Amino acid sequence: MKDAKKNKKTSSKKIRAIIDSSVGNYEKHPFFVRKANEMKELIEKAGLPKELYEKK
Amino acid sequence: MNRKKHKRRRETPAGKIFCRVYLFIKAMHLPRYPYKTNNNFLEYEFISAGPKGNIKKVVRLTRIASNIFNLGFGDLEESTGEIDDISITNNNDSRKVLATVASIVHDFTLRYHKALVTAKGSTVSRTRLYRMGITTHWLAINADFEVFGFQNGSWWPFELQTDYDAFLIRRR
Repeated sequence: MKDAKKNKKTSSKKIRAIIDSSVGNYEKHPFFVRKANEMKELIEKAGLPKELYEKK
Repeated sequence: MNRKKHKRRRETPAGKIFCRVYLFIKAMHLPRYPYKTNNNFLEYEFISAGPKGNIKKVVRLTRIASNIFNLGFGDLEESTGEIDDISITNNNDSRKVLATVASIVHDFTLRYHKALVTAKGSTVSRTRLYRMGITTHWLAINADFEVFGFQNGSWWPFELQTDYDAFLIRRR
């Protein structure tokens, strides 16, 4: 029973991604830069959820 | 008769817990594509396979403030290097793709535990699709994450049956 509980706990904490250095670097890709800028603008205007400030 | 019996069972405290655990486990085992990431855990790639062939999907979490990351994803056209999130792939696997992206967010937030992750669909219908995905697996998501939706210029705690323009999540 203890083992089952332990497994359940660790299973959702497991990273499923395969680490592979051949994965491209898209940091400066215009698509992602544009998406990030759109969201940045939204957050600069509207801020973050007030619940997050309250918890800090 | 059987239905009534099952309904009665679901209404007991033990039945409610059983339902929650069942839904949680079900969400944890959704079909998803295997995906790769590099050492920084910011870029991810996977292949969508279906009637339209193999389509490479790329996901990136771009830092927009100290602990805020925006999730972007689309189809990579390998010959040109362009990424497209507008066209409809029609590979009959939208649920599997969404489950894969959700799994990527799960991995990313294990690595960057305090990160706030924002996401917005490329179109209104895609954003609605994200909302439907969150709604379907709400019990599993809510157990691990705080979710907020952006509506009328402000962020609100996520509520079922409400449309939002963007989402923000944080691991509990």
